[in-house]
Amino acid sequence: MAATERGALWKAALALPIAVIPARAGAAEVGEVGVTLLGYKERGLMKITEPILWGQATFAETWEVSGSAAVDIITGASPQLVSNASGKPVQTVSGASISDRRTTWDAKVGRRFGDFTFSASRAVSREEDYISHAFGLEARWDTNAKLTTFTAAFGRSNDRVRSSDDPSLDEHRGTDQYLFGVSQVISPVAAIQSTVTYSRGRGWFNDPYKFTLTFHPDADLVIMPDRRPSERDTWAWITRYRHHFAAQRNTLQAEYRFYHDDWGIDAHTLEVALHHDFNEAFALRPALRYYTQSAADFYSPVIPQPQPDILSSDQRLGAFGGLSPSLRGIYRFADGTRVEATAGYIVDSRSLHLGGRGSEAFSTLRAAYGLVSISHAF
Amino acid sequence: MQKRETRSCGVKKTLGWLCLGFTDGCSATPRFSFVLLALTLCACTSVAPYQRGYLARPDMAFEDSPGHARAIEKTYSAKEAASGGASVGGGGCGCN
Repeated sequence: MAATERGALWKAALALPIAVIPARAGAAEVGEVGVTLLGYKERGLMKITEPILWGQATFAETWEVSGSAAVDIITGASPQLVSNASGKPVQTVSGASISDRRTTWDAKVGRRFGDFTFSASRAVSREEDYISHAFGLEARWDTNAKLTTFTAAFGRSNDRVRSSDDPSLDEHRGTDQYLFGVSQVISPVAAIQSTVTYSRGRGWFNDPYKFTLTFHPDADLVIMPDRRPSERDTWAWITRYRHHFAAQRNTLQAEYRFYHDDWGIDAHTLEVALHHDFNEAFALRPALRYYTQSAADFYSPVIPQPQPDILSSDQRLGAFGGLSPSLRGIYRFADGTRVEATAGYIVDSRSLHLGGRGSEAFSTLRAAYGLVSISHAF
Repeated sequence: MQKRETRSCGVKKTLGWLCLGFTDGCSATPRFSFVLLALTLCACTSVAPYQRGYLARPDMAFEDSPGHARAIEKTYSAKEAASGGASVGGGGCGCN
């Protein structure tokens, strides 16, 4: 580690609450701006391009400001119908290519009062058939010589759900979120964070573009639009661990999330990455992410008899698992500019479901993505 | 509501938190309580300011760079039933 870099890191370490702020504390003493470009392509389905502008800064050592703006450009086909016309339920995609554009921005302002930091945030997302307005309030307490940080937050989003196919559809969905977290420095080279979030959603959760079509041998053809409960309570518990191995110039980054909701879905997400510095400028970060979920209580690829009031064949509510390997390269210039490039692959399949095969009608999803990010610390 | 007081190194910590159980009757409370207790006990570890150089490294941060974090979260949440957990106050999307 160069003397100047070490000095900057120590200065950041002494000035900032280690366990939380350092979203990029080591890289940015005062601020950082960046642009990120995402390219995502599913085999036979969606293609997404998303440029993102972002920045964060600290003013007068007490004010923290951050924000971002992005545009999603979406084209391609989307899963629309699950039909058993061929004898077994199969997912079919929309015939015509879909094109959509989503614009979104968010901003966050915080102020430190001694060991306490209070923040307020605002986020807006707009697309042709979905509008979301959200805000958040957060309180943070750095204690134990800044080795321990407690965080409590509240967030609310008010969304409007519309449909390109049905101009009369204009429904509301509201979600309140509560967060409590603890970050703890364990040693000079290890830290851990654990956060629990409870979310309480009320309103319209149906997907207006999805249908289930079922042929019954002794009855007529039945078609049913996507119908979901009007309430959804979720729990997400994330624990993150970081450990630096100085002699090997490696940093282990591990993360586990347990998710549960009252639709009957339990999900586990485990991600492990190893950041390795080849020299002062260049680093590589291979990572592997595993995801598995159980099916929602009302998920079914066929419509049973008698027909239920609530049913969805959306395979995102089915049982499946996914693997995502990725590789990131990081290059740091002496002037504070940083270039990161990530290539990743995603495969979601019923055979990857933990504890046995997943939902029979789940259609394997294969996707690849690339991310390029250029940022500058000032 | 449960309340637990633990001895710590110079800082008196009273942990009172909401019943963080799931809808099936607080089944997660013992697990989360265990993690909180473990983290609190970790607070007895002393790390002097001059020992915190490695902790301030960007790769030791819990949050990824904002651009990467945002793009990756959106990518996965559009295809999976589970999402979020690390922050609140973000906007939703149609994600069809």
